[in-house]
Amino acid sequence: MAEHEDFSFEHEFAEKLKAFDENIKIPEIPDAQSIFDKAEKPKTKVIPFKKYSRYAAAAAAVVLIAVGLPIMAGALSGEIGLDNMAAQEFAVEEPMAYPDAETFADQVNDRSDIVAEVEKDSDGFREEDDEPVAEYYPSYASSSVSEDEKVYEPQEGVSLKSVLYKYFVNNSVNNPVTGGNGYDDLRTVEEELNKKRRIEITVEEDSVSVVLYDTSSGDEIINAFWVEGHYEGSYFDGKYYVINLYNPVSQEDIENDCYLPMAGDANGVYTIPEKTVLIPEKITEGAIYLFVEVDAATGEYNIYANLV
Amino acid sequence: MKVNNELVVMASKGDKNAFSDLYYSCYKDLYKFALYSVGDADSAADVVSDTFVEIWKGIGKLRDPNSFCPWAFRILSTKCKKEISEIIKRRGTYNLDDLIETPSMDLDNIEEDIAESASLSAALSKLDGDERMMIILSVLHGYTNREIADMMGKPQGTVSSKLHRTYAKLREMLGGENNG
Repeated sequence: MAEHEDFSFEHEFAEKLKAFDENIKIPEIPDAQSIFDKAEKPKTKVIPFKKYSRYAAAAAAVVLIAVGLPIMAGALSGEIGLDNMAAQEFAVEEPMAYPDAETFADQVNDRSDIVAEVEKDSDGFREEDDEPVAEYYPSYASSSVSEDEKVYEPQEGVSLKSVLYKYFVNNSVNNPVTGGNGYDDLRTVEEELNKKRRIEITVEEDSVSVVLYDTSSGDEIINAFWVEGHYEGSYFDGKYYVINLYNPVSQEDIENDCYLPMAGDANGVYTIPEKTVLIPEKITEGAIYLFVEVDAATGEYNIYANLV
Repeated sequence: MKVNNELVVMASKGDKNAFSDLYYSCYKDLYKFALYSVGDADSAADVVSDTFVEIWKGIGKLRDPNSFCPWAFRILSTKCKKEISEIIKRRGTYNLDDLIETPSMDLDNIEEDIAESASLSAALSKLDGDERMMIILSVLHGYTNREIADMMGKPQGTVSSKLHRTYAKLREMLGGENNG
């Protein structure tokens, strides 16, 4: 019932947004020549102030030490002021004799090196910013997707097994996303979510165990569970800890009825319900992607799954 | 957003006329995406212009013309994110007032339409930048979660999770009128 309500809200929202979108006023499109002109304009290099300011601060520190120490030394010995010869020598030589100060001074004095370095960094940033985006999609299969393809179909009248089986028969593929990704190592990720919560994720072959601790009351376990699937990554958004996993499916898995991931907690082991797996029109990998949301406050978790 | 792959191929070989045609055919969609993202017409136009400059500079390296749209949206979304933070720095906040400049053409229902547009605009402005971009790419451009994940450089599960929660937020904000 709730799923149906979600679906109808999403549909209604989509219709409203599309109608709204049609009424948005588009300004006069600037002449395309402006793009070429802009592209040909030489780049002006901007020195990042933050980086430069570190050197400036270092220079100021050196000057302060150079001027301040002799004054203080003079004051302590009763010979105040830079008229004193010894103090003058101290002001010039002593800071430079100190290895760290010398390093700082070298860095600050050699302004051309700093500017060159900053420019190099700036160039590096531009290269990173510009180039990978061009090469990011060297083999992207499809850029435009039909409306039907986008919408996840409710599973009424079509079983996950039949959809998967059809995929494998039509595509003559087997275990397309398995093999050799280094997921076999046992590893544990521990993270302090906030002052009260700490999460521990243990990745072992094709399953991930999750334990959430209440650090404020002596490591009391709030919740612990495991999910079958290869660990992809996780993040905390301030309220939920989200863990991304995927579970590759092969034709053999389907024939053996072992294509749905399993999960378990203190209440026992269970299979992810087939009706919770969202099925797109088109499968491209034969894998069930899962994401698990753990509520950091309560420890309650939900597992969502998409067939890809 | 639909583009002519031939134009992409020709533009990638340095054909300025082909690129110009591509520019005029894509401008509207990219502008709207930017406007939803940054909420300011002038900023949106600037961001789109900068995006096309990047596209022109990089299109020669694009090997698959089918990847043009997601690639363009990826550049645009990166620029929008930077712009959003600039706008927030300048104004302390930002809203989507520019979105509701144009009332509906249906004069009989103009008040109702304006009110509905305002509530939709207000709801969108309460989403964060990523959430809004995901919703726009999903609903208006028809991209799958996987494609959105590729465009935004995030894991697919993250996109699914965020979209799921974004719909929940929207439902909370707009649910009253939808149910009523």
